[in-house]
Amino acid sequence: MRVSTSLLHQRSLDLMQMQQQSLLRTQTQLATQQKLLSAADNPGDWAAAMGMDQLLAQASRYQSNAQAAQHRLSLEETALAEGMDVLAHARELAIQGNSSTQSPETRAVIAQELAGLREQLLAIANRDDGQGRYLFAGARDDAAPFAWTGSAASYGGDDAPRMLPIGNARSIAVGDAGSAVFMGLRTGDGRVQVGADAANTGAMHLQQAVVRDAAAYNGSSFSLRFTGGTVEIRDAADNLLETRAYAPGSTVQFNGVELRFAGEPADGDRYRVEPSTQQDMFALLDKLAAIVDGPQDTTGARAGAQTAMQQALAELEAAQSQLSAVRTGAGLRLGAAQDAEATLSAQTIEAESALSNLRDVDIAEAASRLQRELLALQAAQASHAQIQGLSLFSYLR
Amino acid sequence: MSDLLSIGMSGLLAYRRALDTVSHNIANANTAGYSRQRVELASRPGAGTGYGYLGTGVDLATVRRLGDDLVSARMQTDASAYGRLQTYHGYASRVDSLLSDADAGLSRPLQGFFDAANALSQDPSSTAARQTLIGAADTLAARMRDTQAQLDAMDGEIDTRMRATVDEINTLSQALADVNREIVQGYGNFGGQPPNDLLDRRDQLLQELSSRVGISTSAQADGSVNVYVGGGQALVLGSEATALGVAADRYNSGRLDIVHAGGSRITAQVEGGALGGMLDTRREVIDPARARLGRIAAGIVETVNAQHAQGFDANGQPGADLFAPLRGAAFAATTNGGSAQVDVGFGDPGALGDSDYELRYDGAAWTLTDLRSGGTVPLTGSGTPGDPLVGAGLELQVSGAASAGDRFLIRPTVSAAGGMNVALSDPSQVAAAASTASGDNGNALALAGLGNTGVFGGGTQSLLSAHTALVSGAGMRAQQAGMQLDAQAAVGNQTLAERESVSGVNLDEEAADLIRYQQAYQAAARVVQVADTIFQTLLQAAGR
Repeated sequence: MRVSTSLLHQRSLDLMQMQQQSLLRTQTQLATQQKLLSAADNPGDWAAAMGMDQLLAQASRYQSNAQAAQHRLSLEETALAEGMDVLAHARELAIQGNSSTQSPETRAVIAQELAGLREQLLAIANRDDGQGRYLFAGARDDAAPFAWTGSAASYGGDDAPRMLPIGNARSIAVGDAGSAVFMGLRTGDGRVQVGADAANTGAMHLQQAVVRDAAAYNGSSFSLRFTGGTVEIRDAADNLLETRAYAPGSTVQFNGVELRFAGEPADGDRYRVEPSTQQDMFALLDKLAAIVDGPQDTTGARAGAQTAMQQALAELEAAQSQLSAVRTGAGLRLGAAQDAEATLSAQTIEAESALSNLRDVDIAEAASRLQRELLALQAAQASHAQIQGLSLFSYLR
Repeated sequence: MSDLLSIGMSGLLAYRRALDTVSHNIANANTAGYSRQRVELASRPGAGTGYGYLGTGVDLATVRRLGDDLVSARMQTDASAYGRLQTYHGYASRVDSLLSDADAGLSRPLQGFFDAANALSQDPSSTAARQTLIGAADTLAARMRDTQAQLDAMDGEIDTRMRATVDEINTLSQALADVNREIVQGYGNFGGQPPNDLLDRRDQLLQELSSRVGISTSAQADGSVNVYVGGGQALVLGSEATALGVAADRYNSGRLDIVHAGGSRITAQVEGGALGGMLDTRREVIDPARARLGRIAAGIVETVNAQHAQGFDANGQPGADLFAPLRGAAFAATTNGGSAQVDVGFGDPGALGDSDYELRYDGAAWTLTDLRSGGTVPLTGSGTPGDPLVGAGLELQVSGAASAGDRFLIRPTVSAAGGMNVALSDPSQVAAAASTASGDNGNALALAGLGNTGVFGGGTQSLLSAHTALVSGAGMRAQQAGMQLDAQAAVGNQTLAERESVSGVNLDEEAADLIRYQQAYQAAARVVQVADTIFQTLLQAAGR
């Protein structure tokens, strides 16, 4: 095929231009460390990389949620641990105050200490996260949720703790509503409560009162009246239902409720058995203080205080186990948030490495390509110069 | 003796012309479109004598232009294809870079908005987090508007270039008509000898014209060439040129149509060349990108506002619109008899497409036609503000009176992203809560999750995946256009090599010819000298 001089010239210029284009491309890749400069370079990989970016953004949202949750939950856990210390201390004080060796003066001191514990627990329940958001207020966390009304605490929060997603289809509560932590306790054993009549004179006091047969317990109130080796069981309206023989130390079972007393009853001593009522933790501490501080100058009063203390300690135990359960739950969620963060980190690393495969340039490959292209360009330039110098006219003299 | 002299002279003359032609070739070695020329020598008819025919020398038959009309025609086709792809690839790459760019693209603002909603869910009552969400929404809206503006600017640039290209086409057509006339005269003036350099000039003009618009040609007996564009509309007939023009489309929508002299619109028939490339770019690159962008904008506005309205703000009020509602564009045909105007609102994003539509009134009922598929979109409603026409994810309200036969061009999404604005400025109006409790983060969480929720295509495509599809779709077009451009360049180079192998000037060849013709000239001169010597010899002999 004939070759024209201008084509020879043009083609060799075109080739150099092409080599310079690929050189520029390689150089840009090396400078930006990116294999794909725009979607047109490889639309499939680019779309995959965008998907990966979205995945990473989502993972980083989850991670940030998990961190926020950890912060809140560890604050909550600390608060709950302190709350448990308060209750344990209250238990020690109550037992100490219930001992017969205490004088009215020492009991007054203990009662005061118990009232102080109530204040301390209230402060814990009203603790905020350092940014004015209250830990135990559910979603109404802009105001302190608990207030002491003199006999019980009022709760201004709501029952819905905030949820944060920490993974696909996985959300955790980043707190517990105060209503489920410090409130919702029940008096007595949780089903029934027993109280000694104030007019009792005997030394007999309650040792245990439980609903033994839940099916038989119908929720009604009744009272026991001890007289001359018998116990009369009376209904709420004081009608005699039945009379049984009673030997001190034996158990009385009625309506599914099992009662055991210690000590000798005096004739006419009465005990009321009633369904449990709602009580909050602060009221419980207040009640403990009141029992410890109450007069114990007569045998009857002492026995009454012991009965009340038996009930209150059972309630305190329930309160401790409630707090412990909430703390366990918070701890589990804290662990879940930590786990999620670790998992998300691992996923992020994997996704980033996949992304890097899609998007980042292979430096070694690009550098050697640069060398190759430089060599090719140099060769093209040299051959262009040589070919241009070649002409038959040069030989015409 | 005189024969010897005249034969020698004929050689001298012929080789003088041959040397002229060689030097013409050398002079034009780098002239674009030049075809090398060669003198065709022919021996003069012999003089008959009783002992046979005696040669009488050489004649110059013609100066031949070495060209191949088929290769020329292929050069024109290549120029059209290359011109189209060059324009197309240029815009496709720009759209690709615009959408792919990490800083100018939509990825970051989109993620930023959902990040801000997520951060708000961690601390729903924080004014700073609320402010951040409004800021992120504002950034997103601004980037949407910005992207729309960039695409609009490209569209405007295409309009400007279309006008300029049509002007160039008209200039070239006129030049072709003039050259045609000169060629016809050229053939006539010298007994049918070809006016070689004019023919080159015409090929060059045709080449330039085809790089601007696809043409077809037909050679006429008188040596002129007729040129047609699109579906057979004549641009040049002999020495007469017909001008093309641009005019606003039937809906006055800001689109330009190409019109042929008679006023007929030939936009749909124009193919190839830079002009065809611009029309294809507008139809296949810019408009789809704008429509998909607008669809994403409408999807964001509709879903975010709907979710926001389900929550409660810091004042316990239901969420107001976070983004200002978007409006689509509607244009009444210039031929409409009625005064009706159409307002285009957005409804169900799940049914929203990225097409343009034509709304037609037959005197009793409205019909909506999808201009891409040609299918009819089922409509409900009557078109009044309380009961808009609902179809294809749109809510169309008609105001004013429509006459039978009135038509409207509905372009819902093409410019929608340009109207994206944040409607809230007060951080307390951000509805983060699903209830009236201030620490409730339910709605912020729902907002944060919207990016991955199915929105389009009946809930099968999320906002984020629609964005990925927008970017990779534009990338795909740019990639294809790039590959086609490379392939066309290779084809063009091949054709050019073929043309050059026939018509190109090779200086070495010309140098060889120069030597050859110089030697022949010298030999012919020698013949004249010999004739002289012989004559002198005779004279001397006779003179004794």
